[in-house]
Amino acid sequence: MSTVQDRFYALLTATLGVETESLTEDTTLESLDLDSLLIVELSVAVEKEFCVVLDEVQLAPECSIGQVLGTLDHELKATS
Amino acid sequence: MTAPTSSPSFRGERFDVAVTGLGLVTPAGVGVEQNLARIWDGRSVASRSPELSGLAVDFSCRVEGFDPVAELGRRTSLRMDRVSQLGVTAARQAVADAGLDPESWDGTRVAVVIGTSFGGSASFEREHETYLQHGPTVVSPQLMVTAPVNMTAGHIAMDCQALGPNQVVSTACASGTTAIGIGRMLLESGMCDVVLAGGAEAALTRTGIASLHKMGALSKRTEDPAAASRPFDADRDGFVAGEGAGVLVLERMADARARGARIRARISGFGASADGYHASAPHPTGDGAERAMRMALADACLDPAEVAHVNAHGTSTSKNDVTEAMVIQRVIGRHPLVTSTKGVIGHLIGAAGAVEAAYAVLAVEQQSVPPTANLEKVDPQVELDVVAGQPRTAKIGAAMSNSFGFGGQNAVVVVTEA
Repeated sequence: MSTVQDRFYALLTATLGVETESLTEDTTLESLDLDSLLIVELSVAVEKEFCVVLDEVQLAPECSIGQVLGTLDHELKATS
Repeated sequence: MTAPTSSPSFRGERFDVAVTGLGLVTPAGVGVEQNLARIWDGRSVASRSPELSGLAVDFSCRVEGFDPVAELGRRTSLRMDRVSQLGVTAARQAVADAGLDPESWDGTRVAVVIGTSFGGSASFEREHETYLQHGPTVVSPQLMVTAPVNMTAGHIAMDCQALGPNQVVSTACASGTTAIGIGRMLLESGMCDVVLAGGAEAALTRTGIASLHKMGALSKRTEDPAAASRPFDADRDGFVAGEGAGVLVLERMADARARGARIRARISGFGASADGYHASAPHPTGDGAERAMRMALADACLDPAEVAHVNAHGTSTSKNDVTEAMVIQRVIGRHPLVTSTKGVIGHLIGAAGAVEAAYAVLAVEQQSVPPTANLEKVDPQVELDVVAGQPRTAKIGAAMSNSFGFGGQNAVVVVTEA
């Protein structure tokens, strides 16, 4: 069964074309060269995949992948 | 108000532009060489499309084997509708074919003119599905920069830093031809030195195909898709919808010569008109088509006798082919070698005119006219020399490419030898 990280990484690749092999927990969204439109696209993709709505603070450019995954995990547990 | 003239002579002398580059991404292949081979082979590439499964017409002409990620990179391709992926790829090919380098050119002198009828409508349809199934909160924010018709020209500018006038024209099935005509005008005006002119279309959506079928425009030959597009044939029953893109690099002759460019052919004339008659049917006497053809000839300062080849609009519909044949005979005569390359690749709608003008350039360059696929028994009302079976070699000093759109919008270009 896919983990939240697997699903999130698949989403980054499919939706934004991000190559996930070199990602670490400390990689920030802004270092992935995502402009504001792409970050909104990411939030839409997250909502579609996880039925979780992340706001602009939770998906701020300076957020790291680790932080986003932590937030996602928290929100998923809160809604389960 | 004066009555429209059928033989305008608004230009005292001919203004030629050089075609120095071609880019083709069509159902006949990706690149000029694949297109040359497939089009001159003269066999239809139409096939059943899984995306259209269950519809009354479930076949089309798609650009098989086109890999947008390989062509453009994953990141870039994801930001585009397929229409822009096809258009940008064709533009890149055309620029390379012209021996131009976007790294070093003065982009402010490079214009882009792209014709399209439906733009990114496939993206719109997909997101509409999302809206209906999941609600408004998960509709893609990128839809508003993928679906609009202007985006292919915009993406070409971004991709190769073509920073001059950036235009989109939409005259239905004549869009690609109109783009070439407008590109030529831009060069004549001096507003730019290079024009990337062409057309792109990728609207083979279920809704679009269902509508084209209901209006009676499409062939219903579901049992044999490869035999469905048969322009000028007595047994034709409609067109096959296709997708693709074609881009031509245009330059003033003196500029092209000065930089030592290979000149494939010249665009020597352009004509355009409106039927002002019906949303989809051609004018019964072909009035608008005739005026566009005569205008293009006058613009090219050519006598009809000099036109050796016509790449016809030739949709394979009952009305178009008979009306167009009548007009070709009336305006030019029975002597030109006529073909419709839609027999092979179907009808590329907004891209059709650009792709077919490119084929006319290749015909002039090769001194050879490709055959009309599936033409087995010429409609007795078509009293023309339509090339069938094999390509025909001939002296081709001048060729004409016709495009007639829904809405009665007509555009014609004249291509002459380099």
